[in-house]
Amino acid sequence: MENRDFVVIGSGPGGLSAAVAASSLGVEVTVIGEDPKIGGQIFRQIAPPFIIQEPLSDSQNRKIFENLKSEISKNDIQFLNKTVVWGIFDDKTIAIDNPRNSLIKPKKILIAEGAYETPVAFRGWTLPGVMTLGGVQILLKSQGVVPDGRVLVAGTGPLLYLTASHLLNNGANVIGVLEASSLTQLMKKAVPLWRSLDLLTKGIFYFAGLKKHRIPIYFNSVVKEALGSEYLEEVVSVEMNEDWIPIVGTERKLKADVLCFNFGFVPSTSFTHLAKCEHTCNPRLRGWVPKFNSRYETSREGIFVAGDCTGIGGVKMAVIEGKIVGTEVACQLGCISEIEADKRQSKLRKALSRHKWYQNFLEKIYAFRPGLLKLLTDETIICRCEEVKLRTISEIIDDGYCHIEQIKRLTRMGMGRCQGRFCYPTLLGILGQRLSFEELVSEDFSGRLPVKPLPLKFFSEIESLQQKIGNEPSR
Amino acid sequence: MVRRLEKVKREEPFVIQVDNDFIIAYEGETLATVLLAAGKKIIRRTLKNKSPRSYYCGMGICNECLVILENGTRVRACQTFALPFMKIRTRE
Repeated sequence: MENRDFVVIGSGPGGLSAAVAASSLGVEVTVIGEDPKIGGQIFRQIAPPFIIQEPLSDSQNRKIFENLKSEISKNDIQFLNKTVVWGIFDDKTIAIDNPRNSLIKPKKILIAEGAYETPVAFRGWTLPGVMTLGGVQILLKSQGVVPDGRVLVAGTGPLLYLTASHLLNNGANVIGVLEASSLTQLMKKAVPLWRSLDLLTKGIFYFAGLKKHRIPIYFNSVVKEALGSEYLEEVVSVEMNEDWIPIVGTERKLKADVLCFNFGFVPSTSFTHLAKCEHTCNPRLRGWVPKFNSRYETSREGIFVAGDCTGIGGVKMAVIEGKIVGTEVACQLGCISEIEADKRQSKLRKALSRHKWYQNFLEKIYAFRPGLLKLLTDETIICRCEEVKLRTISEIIDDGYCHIEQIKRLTRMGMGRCQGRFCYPTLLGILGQRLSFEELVSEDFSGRLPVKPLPLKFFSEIESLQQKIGNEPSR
Repeated sequence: MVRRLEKVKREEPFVIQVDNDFIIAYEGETLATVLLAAGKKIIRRTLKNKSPRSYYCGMGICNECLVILENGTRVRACQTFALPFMKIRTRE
């Protein structure tokens, strides 16, 4: 077992900036990331050894990443890339898979696990060819491939236009964009963007690009069903009113080979749940956020959070939050005085408040409108892993079981390989129709080992692992 | 389902075995990319209903793209890089 001062889980903007801040103050830092290169999802680059003349997508945050990288080169930070964290135990010991069954015992931990795309269930969303917008971005940015055939982009918000433009510029056959909001709603929500002329210009630029290519944008429209026997062949869209309630009789059929969609992001809480940090359910985000204090320390002493896993705020907020954590860790480990840490942190908190508008903007754009639940039918799969349909869940709820842990035990929903990441958001929407707001906010679930799938043979070695740490794994 | 962009410079291609087929791969590509580029739209079938699944989240958290390596280990195709002489199975 290796002892370290400070272990950062996640090598995105929040994790990297915390690592730099702590390391520059004399803390010994290890950063663990699953990808072969640092940067997380937002700074994802072309996979080595591919070579490109210019980036395949406009990386809006390239400058921030360059700054972080140059700071990293000035510090002595240990990076464990291609490494999966699969367990966090009660005494803060971290189990990683590379090398197999290694344990690290840090004094302080930062969990910066980011966010993932809010799942929205509709009939046929499990068909091959239906994927997340982020999935398409990764294929393009890191793998140098574009979807073949007719591509339909759906969901809501600026990311649709950005991705559609990137796809068009790389020769993909984008046949249309289904935007859930109306043009007026979209414009109203875009008003705060005057604060960031850069973003506003870019938005208009992408929008104009689609117009120029004569790509139809269907406003007030959402995917009702994805059809096909073995893979996606056709998409049925439907128009909706201002509350996103589908209007019967407005269906439109579109032949498509690939459908990518995005309805915003939900904080990732696999590790904070596993570490038994306390959480609050946020029905607006359709997910959970860990509870944390002004120094981003969770309910578990010595475990911190930063970035989108604390609520969706984007790159700039993640970087500042990371700095606050890095400074706090340095202070708690005795590298700087409390007075010095306070001084630095109050400055950072001021800077953070300047970016709050962006967080509010994102929250407004992606605010959940219950009308979307009207798309669900009895036969719609809610839990992809265990193939649990709405019918089963409704029956359980009608029998009076209205809590996530009850429904999980009775239906197996959320017990599959994704560990509830892709069904709990929909379930929260469904429960929102039955439970009061106060009840909904106190809903929670417990995390389970391993956070990422591992070969079973790993666990045959778990006994020796337990002896090593002299502790039961977290349950 | 996907097409390789010509403007991306790749190293020499190699071949991997997928079930009974041999398909082309490049260093740096994930198994998911290799499968999709070879036109293999269905990556796996579910145990319960045998329903077809494929690349979905792309970032290693949905576990829809699991494939089986020669040693029997299931791995996420979107997180596993293709290597020369690799043999994978997409069904039990």
